[in-house]
Amino acid sequence: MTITEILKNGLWSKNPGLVQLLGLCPLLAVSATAVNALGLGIATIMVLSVSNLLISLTRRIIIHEIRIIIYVLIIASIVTCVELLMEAYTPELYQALGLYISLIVTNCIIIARAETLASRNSVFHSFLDGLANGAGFSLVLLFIGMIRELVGQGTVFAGMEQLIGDLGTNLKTQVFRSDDGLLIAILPPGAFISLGLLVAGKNFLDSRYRKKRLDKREAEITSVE
Amino acid sequence: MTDTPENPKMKYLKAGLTLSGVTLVCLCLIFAVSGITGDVIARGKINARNARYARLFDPASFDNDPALDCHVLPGPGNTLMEVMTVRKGSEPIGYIVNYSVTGGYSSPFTMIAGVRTDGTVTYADIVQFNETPGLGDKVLRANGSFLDSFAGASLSTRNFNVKKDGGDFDYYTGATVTPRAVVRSTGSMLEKLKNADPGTFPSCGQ
Repeated sequence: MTITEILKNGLWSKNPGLVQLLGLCPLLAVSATAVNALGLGIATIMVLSVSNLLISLTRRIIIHEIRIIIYVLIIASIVTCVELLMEAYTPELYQALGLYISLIVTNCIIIARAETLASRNSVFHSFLDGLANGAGFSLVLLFIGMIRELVGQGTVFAGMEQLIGDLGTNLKTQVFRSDDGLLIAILPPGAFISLGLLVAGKNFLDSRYRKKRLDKREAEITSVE
Repeated sequence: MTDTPENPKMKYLKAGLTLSGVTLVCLCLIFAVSGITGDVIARGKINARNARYARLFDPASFDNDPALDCHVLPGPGNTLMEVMTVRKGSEPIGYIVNYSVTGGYSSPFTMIAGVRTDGTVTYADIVQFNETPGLGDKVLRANGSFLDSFAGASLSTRNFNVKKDGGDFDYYTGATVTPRAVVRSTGSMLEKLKNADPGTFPSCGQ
């Protein structure tokens, strides 16, 4: 597998959020605001790339029969470390994300990448795949978070200071008054609707691209004739 | 596995050893990270707590660690509340009260308030909140100044009910449930605090 292929699969054509629909629990639960989404996204990228790296490193010494236990052990340790680091350096965000950081352990994207890719590929490719899939997941999470926050309370990136300190205070953009927001966007159904819209949007772009390619080929064939 | 057929016992042994090896490495990793972050986390918690206390009482006005002088009293509804006595020297100047609000959409949620010995509230804030977003969350400080109306209030000067119920506290149109719960629970907290001597109750954590 080439590097561009790995990046393309993770970010677009096999995007874990939009195509494989994996890890829906955090995707839907933590996406009420863009900041929470971004925070969990970064944590997921960290866990996913490090777990892919470690599992690829140890793939020759892991005995096939007990591989899943070892994956879970490695993933759980990484998540614990990430959780400790977040509690120490971004305490407010840690409070806001609460249980969902520990729940990264149960995010099936991570074990799916370990089983299908990291256990068979080189360290570099596995690490890159972790980054690409983590980024693909985070982008979906961030988009849903932005849509829900914008529609629900008329802001984008409110509370950014939780993530990057005082620098983030100015990033908040108020588009319209919070009172005029559509409540359903913040409540759980809003998450499903936003995800549905994103999946539909991706499929629309894909099919348009395919159609364009087909048309082009047809045109070539007729011109040859 | 590609190599020669192994003795199954050897295979089990190898599996066991690999598993213990990986466990050991993972444990070391977690202990290392926890060792690095432990101090930072503890310091952050103390800072956050001191910042919270400083909003309730001027840091210059007291010199004890309120968390060490903490007692559990019966609070609003059937809940318990933690009362921390704030002292200057040995003289109590007020109390920091952690109490629960009952009667909201998804109560109880917890609040913290500073109360002077004469029963006046200095500052009230919501610590942990789980009301429906968009319906009850306008009471939060991030979304408005509702909680400021408690500063300076006491049982003798204010009627702890929302205006709709004949009390003295404003609420916002549309959703009365959460403000009513907050106002009534705070009133009940003050009532119970007034009639009690915290020192005679069991200490926190017992």
